[in-house]
Amino acid sequence: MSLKKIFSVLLFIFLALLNISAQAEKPILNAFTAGSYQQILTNNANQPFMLVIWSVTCSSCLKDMALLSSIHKSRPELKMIMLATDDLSAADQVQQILEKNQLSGIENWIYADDNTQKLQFEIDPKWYGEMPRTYFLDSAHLRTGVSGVLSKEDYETLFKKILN
Amino acid sequence: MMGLADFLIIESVLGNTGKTNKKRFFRPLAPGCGQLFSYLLLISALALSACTHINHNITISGTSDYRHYPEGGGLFVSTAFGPDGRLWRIVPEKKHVYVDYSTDLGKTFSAPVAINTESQRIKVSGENRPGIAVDRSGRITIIYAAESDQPVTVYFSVSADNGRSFSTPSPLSDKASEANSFQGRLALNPSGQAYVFWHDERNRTDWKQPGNSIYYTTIGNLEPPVFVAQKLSDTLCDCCRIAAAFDTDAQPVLLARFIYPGGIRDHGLIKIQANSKEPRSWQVTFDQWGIEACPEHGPAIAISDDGRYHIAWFTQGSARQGLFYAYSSDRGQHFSKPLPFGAPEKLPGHPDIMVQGKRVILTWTEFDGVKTQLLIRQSNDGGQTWMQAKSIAESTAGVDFPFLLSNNHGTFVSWNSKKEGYRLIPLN
Repeated sequence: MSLKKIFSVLLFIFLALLNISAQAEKPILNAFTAGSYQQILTNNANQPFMLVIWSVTCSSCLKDMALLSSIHKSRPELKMIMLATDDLSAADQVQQILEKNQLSGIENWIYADDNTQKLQFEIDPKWYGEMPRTYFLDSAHLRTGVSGVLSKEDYETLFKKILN
Repeated sequence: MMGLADFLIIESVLGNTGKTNKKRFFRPLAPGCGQLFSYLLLISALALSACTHINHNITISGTSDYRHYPEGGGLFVSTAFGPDGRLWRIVPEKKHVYVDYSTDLGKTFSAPVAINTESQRIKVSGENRPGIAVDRSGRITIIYAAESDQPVTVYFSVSADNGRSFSTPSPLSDKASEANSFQGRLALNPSGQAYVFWHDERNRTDWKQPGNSIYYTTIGNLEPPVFVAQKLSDTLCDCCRIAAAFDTDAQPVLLARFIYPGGIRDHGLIKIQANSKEPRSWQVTFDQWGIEACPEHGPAIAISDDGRYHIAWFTQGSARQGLFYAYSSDRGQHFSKPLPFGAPEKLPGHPDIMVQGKRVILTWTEFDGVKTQLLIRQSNDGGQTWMQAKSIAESTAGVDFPFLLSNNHGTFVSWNSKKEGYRLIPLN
């Protein structure tokens, strides 16, 4: 392991610990690395949730933001997790978009490994990386993955599926 | 890409990102704990800077990896052969873009020359990549994307002294201060004229309308350069790079993903006409991929000396899914039945294509969850029949897309990866 890599790992541990003690004032970005998807599943055992994968360079994703924001407000009981596939150097842009769309308070992650292909594969070995990509998981974590912008009706239909 | 105007807030926010402090959002740790980790961080940083410093002094040039780069180089590089056989390479880092060259077919590279002496926020991804082209006189043209008054702008620079110095980078778009320009595609026509095609958001006044515009310009030898950005098309899918080749009449032919009625994200050709006639554009793939999403998966095109068009593309349409190849013997009016290639269970993607007479070569990558394989497949009869796919390299780290290039030393696949570094792989 190179010193640079060790440094990055230490930085992430540091940032992760900061996150734990921080308040949800500014969007907190968790570092998404190998194993993070499993960690999300473990953290949400027996709980339905929605995972929204997006990027600051994905115009379709940005079109989706306002609706996601209103869903978050109208259905606070539904756990929403967001994952930005951007490089860490774009973290401030990710945060600003989340903040402007009032999505700071939810659980937010950002890719933090150069091998994005591997991260993508761990989430879904059949997903080619098109975005937005949204997963709806029921309490047993049986999931439906959908690519593309969804309508309010689409969301409602899929929520019914995971909340029952 | 970014900065859709119905998200004016986003645009203005992105435009100001240079002023923000990335660390601001992390609240201070509890006393004690914070101190401990600050020390840890400081020690790591010192160790790292010492290491970087040593590398700088020892490996000034001639290395095969990116250790001599200030920030370790970048993943999304482009290469081109010069007239003297040198392999030229453009390498983006976070704040600077560099050019270096290899005289031993990619084994070692020269000391990098920084293109932008003033630091910029470089914007780069697999689709939004820097480009480099070298004409017969050795004149080097480069393009890259960086933040400017807008979140993203395509810049260009040229070197007329064999890469010893480069002109101060300038935006290519005449509306660069008003609208995003990105995903530039640089290509030389047969006589060495440099063309750049890019995604442009200047015409998106109604932000519900689908897609971007394609604009292009040619870069001449005038100093200072004078060029006019011309529009080619609307409804370009925002997140897929443009492919370009030149027909036997030396006119550019583009292949790109468009948004057709019903939100169908299939591909179309654009042919630029001689004598300032209106460019022609028509749909050529019919996969029925109806989706409001960013596939981030651009196509590839090559045109043979006998005028046959060869195309390769990715789709997840209802008609077919995966990577496909087809050819056209009537300048794109009709194409052969799409031929699937790549192992469907291994996420085949990001194809490139090259044609040399009757020989057609495809390259792409596949990923099995652990390793990325670099594959090629060849035809010796103009795309009628194909040999078995062959794996020619692999990587266990982050990889770039593969690109085919050739000179009088042979035909190669240019492939960059985080772990194995840059490789120029010869094909027999």
